[in-house]
Amino acid sequence: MVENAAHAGKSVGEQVKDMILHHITNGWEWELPSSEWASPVHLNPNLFHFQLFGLDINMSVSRHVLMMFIAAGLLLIMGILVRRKIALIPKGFSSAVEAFVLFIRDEIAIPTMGKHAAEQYISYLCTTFFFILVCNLMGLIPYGSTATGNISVTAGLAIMAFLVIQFAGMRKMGVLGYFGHLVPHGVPAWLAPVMVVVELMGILAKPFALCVRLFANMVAGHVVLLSLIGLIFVMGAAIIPVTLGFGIFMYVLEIFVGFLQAYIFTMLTSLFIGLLVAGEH
Amino acid sequence: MVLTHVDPQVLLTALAGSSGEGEAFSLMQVHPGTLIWTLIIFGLLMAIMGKLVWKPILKMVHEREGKIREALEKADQAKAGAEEAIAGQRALADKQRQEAANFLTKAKDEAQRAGEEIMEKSRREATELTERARRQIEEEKNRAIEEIRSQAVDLAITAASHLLGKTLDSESHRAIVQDYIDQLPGNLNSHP
Repeated sequence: MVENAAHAGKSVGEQVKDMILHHITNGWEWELPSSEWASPVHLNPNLFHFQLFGLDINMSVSRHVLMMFIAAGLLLIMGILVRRKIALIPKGFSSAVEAFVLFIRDEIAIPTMGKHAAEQYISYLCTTFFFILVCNLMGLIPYGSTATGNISVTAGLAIMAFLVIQFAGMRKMGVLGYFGHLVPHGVPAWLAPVMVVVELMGILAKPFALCVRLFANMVAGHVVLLSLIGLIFVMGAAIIPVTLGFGIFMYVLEIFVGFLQAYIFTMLTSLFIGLLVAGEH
Repeated sequence: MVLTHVDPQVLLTALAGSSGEGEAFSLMQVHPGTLIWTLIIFGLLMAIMGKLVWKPILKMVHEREGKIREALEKADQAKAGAEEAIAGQRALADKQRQEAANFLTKAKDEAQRAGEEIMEKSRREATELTERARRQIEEEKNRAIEEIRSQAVDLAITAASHLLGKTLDSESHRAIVQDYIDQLPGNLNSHP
């Protein structure tokens, strides 16, 4: 094994590290089952590559973008199935989806932002919850990959949350009222410039925290799981029972974390909207 | 697949994937293309799902909540109505029971009064009868005594005249005998 590693020019540990990084970062291949182990589906990295305002933007479909498309497709299929079965007395699958929607409305939206605003932002909150949930869980099925373990994806979701939060604030207080809100009442005039900076930092810190929290949580679980698998290559086959036990435990934990992080992201976004919408704080 | 039959190195290389063409992604660097795709996919998904699924579900839930509230209100109303009806029935029954009791009491009283009247009347009549009978008896007795007395006087005079052999002057001797009889002990006459 050491000889083979030397053949590749890297130690086993380094190769394991490469393997882990390869699995958690985005890429241009999709490892579908094929006759040969080393021949994944190659995605075209130059499908849609352009320069805009001096920025190099490559919008070719990478693995995580593909996963997002699949997640969106799954949600649309779910939506069509549920829509056909919407009834006064819910049944089967649609009542399960309905239970989640009602949970988001009654346990997340209404307590944080009140009944009226909850109606306005429920579409956003439901989509956020289900999209993040499906993306999280897709990393746990074979050939899947965790799009929410990609900082670009979580940044996109956080930007979406940022836009919705600002929109909610301006809708509630008016554009001028919203910017006036940057200086809280009762602050001395000389302190106002400082307060504006502090408030702006708070506004930006919220989505930044959302972005990093989701990304780090999703990556961390996978790193642990892949490290346990990598342990087999480093320590030999004898360690398999241990890694298998821990691996299954981590897998179950990841399912829980997938639900939990989707809930936390939705809950915090709802809370931030509520802070602006539900009156002065 | 048995692990010993596979060269671990090949497996590891396969797992790591081939470092193919295209720019490499970094774990900690934001990739603008992916970010824009996220915004596009999420935005479209939100627009479609909002119209297609979330709003209809919530509308249905609203409808259901309305229906449930309505049904509960109706049930409450029905319950109140039933309770009212029961109370009315109970009041009516109470009233009727009271009336019946009153009627019964009155009837009993009347019957008692009638009975007492009858008893009184019969007692009075009985007393009257007894009284009349007693008076009659008294009269008869007195008359009998009177008769006995007169007959006794006559008898005594007759007897005496026989004994004396002469006829007593009826008038004068009657007075003597009468005196005698009057002096008898256990006077039959009530007056002294």
